[in-house]
Amino acid sequence: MAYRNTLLALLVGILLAATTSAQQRYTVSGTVMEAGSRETLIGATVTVPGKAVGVATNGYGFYTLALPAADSVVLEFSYVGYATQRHTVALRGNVVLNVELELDMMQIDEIEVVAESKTSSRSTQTSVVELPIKQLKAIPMLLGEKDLLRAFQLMPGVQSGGEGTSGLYVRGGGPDQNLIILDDAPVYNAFHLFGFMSLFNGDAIKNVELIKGGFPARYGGRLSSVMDIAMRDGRKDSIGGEAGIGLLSSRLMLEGPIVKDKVSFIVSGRRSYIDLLMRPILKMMDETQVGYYFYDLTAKLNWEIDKRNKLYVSGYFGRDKFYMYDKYSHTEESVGLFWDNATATVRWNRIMSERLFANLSAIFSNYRFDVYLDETSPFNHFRIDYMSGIRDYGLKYDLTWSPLTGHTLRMGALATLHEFRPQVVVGIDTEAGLNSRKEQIYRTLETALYAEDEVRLANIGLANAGLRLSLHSVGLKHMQMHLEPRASVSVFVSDKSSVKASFATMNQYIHLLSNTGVGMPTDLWVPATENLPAQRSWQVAMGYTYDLKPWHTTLSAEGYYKRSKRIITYLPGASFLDVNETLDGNISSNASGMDWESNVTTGSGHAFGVELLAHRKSGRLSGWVGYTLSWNRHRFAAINNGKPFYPKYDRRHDISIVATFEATKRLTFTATWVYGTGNAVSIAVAEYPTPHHGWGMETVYCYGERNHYRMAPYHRLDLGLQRRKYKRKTLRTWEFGVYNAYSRRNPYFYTMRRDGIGPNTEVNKLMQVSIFPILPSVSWSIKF
Amino acid sequence: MKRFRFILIIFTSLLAVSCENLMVEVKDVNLPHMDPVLNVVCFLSPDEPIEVHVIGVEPIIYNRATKVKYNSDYFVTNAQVRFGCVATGQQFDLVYVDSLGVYVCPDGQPKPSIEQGGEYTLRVEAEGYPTATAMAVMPQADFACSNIEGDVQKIENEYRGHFRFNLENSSSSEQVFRVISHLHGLYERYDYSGYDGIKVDTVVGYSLFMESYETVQPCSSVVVLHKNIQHIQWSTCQYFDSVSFEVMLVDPDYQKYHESIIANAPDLLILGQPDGVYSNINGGLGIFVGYIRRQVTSPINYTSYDSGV
Repeated sequence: MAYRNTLLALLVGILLAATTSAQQRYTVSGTVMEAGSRETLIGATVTVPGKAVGVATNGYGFYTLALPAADSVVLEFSYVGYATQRHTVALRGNVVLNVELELDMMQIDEIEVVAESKTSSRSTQTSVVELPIKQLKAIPMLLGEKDLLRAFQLMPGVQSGGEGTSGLYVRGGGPDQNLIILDDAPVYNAFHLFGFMSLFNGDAIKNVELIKGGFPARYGGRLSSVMDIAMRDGRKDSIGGEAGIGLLSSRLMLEGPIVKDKVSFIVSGRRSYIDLLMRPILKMMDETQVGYYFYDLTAKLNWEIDKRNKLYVSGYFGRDKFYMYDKYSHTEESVGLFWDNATATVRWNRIMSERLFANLSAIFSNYRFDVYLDETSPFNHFRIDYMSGIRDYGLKYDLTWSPLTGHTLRMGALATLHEFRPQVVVGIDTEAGLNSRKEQIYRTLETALYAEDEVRLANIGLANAGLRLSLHSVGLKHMQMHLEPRASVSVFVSDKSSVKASFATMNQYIHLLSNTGVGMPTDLWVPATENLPAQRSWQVAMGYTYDLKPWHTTLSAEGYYKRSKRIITYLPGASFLDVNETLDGNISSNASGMDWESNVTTGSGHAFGVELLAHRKSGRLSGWVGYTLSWNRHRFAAINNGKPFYPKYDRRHDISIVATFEATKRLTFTATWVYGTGNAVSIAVAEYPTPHHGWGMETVYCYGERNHYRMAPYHRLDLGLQRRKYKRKTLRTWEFGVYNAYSRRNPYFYTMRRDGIGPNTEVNKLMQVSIFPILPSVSWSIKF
Repeated sequence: MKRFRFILIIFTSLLAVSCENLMVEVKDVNLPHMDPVLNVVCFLSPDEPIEVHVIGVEPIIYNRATKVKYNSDYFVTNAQVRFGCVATGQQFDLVYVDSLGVYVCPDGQPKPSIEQGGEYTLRVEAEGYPTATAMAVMPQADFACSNIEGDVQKIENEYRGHFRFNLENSSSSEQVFRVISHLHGLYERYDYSGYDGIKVDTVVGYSLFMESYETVQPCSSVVVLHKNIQHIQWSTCQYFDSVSFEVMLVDPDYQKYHESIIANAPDLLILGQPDGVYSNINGGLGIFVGYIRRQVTSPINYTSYDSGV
């Protein structure tokens, strides 16, 4: 009976929409920007007060709203952290209205937060996490380094891989199942410092959105989540910037107009300096030179060609390097590992008409790592490089069309040429007359067509239905094609609450081979092939959202169920360094040594859980309380005797509490507390000697069922204090932080040790190793 | 300003507190009960007598004092070990020899003949353990080694040797070889208890040089290259006069077993997923595989290199 009523209501809504569309209608369109800098605002809401009409700005700050003709219509523009504005327009023709919202940093408690917000009860999408950049920047982090990805780990349904690491595990999915896009370009390894830090510099980021389920059809290619990161465009009014010094790295950002109100730029860079500090000490001690550094550079150029056309050119380049160098006798030896990411995007926005917005993007992304050993002596040069990487060239065309009131149609096409180099081995040995390079190259073409319609059904609710057709071919030989239906619906229960549901199917045409699962640079990206077809998943989610308006707080509860097929993992004992061939002249005759496909196996997984969140995005006291109860199981025929097991990051309970308190205009206190069930790991349950055939006996260990043991629960309290000072048109901020304030010994890994010598004294000990005790941090920054 | 100093003092104190090494804690854990099983290991070769190791796999007890156990403490001495030839249907009961720690065919009784391509069975029963059974198929030796050569270059304190040979697989299927190189000759033993080494004696012997696995495609060959750098303080390799390659045609299960022993380390928990040792024994752990061994030898040539230093 209930579903009949809902169906009836939906039909009435559609009829109403059709009736209203028959009237004379005009369009209000334009761009919503930040006052002064004229930085476009993504996701700002435009509504007609008192009426069920509204729209959010797209990824370029553009909106369009079709309304019936009227002498005067009041439009309300709002965005979290900005003062709401109302504008009255006469609708006797199409109107272009660009709005600049005032940032009210120091009066945040007085900002009127309106009901229409993308994460409140009036948005269609389920399973979306958005965090204001200001709130992200206030959260205390490890060694004071601001980290976008780690801030998102504090949201329900999103987990961290381990102590201090930045990898994301979304609703039971692995870090390979997250699509992280920076200005439309995919980022394949989003980490510095072996996974302890993400590579996104908060100074250059405008907006971050994480979608955990109910994926709109415009997104695809990964099973578990999409993180869409938009870089800032750069101030259009005057030169500005920000610089900061921390314990680990320093950063500098500059932005401003090249041609006022026409062309602007932003450049931002960071560099760590552990190696620079250590180098003179190691030299003095005549020790082996060991060092590590990372740097990154982000740049964007934004050209407003005319009122209808805009051009954006943006890019990122970052590198991490760990090295050891030694010199003995006449031989110089160096061993190292480096990895780098590069992305570049050229985007052309065109407002085709008041109701039609188009964007064309040309995308480049490159990731590679290199492990090398180099030895030079007077009579020989020996070098071996083991490399892996992935390079993308892509084209994307998106159209946003608002033909009728309450309808926003999105259509588009995407083509990406992936160039995988899973294993490249370069060997040089002048003594043996060897100079060889052996590599595998896979070129695959991934294309997609999509269409989706976001429908506003009067006061009944919102719906988004879409279809994505994805195709994948390996060298035009092996072609896979999948239809991916997507749907999400939000039914307004009252003006404060709504019930939401979504369904999405996803396909993933690239795999990540990982031994660790923590986002190490040595993980290999490989394509879906005939033997290892695309990973597939489907997910249903259902939730309830309630806007607690007097408290500016949104309460939400959401349940999900996800099934995945053909997920991959290494076979027992296999690893990324499984290259068996000798480095000699006859190297090409042994092709099987490079066969990564024989080192992996496929299986299935399912995950389900409930996520609860109370989120206050603004006010003097803001933050959230989140709780996740979840289960995650995997099954691989070749692992654990084919029996299902909990993957390492299965986490039954996950709690996070984040609070930011603006005590005065100059002083902000922050606190974060997290709790999580311990990771599931394998520890040795039995030991025995076994013959090694030629090497005598070896004591070995039996690990029993995979991941049968739970590590100790994880919990931690972080505290932060920001002290701001305005001086000579600059904002100077001292920031103090304490990571793990009560110095909890959280497990990082377990290892076995045998202590004692002699009869009846030998003891097997299981050692829990923790890496981060209480860690204070201090940083200073200046904004001008 | 006073408050600011106060904050700085607190932070300096915290920094001092946090400047410690890794925090290590001993965990007291109760693991789930594990049923005892047998670890049965037998490498079959036409040229070697049959030896079967029968070892009891026992649960680990963490964080409690235990009796020191030597390898021999794990040996199961009262097992019933039966070896069978599929082709002839013959069954042979093996007996435990305490001095060897293995089960062998008893003296004075007929012994099974191990043939290339032959199929063999193994069945082990012992009180308190489930019965372990296995089957092995001997490989066919369709391979040859040729063009063996090797030389050592000498420069000051360093010796660099590289040795190679062609490994030809004339079989119609892919073959896996375990190759171990040895250096033969005289070497001097030194006593390094003083500042300079004092030569104590000169002995005849050999030293393990290097080992590798080679996978060779059907009806093709590979060049096996073994090389190493030796510093004089490690080995007086100028006295080695020949190199030999021990080439073993092995079952793929042999390689899996061998490599899984190397990968089997509890410390791997930090970096990846530790796994048990590969086994092809039903109802237990261990390995039952065949191999065929050949050895080829070549003299070592010495060349010297004047670095001009």
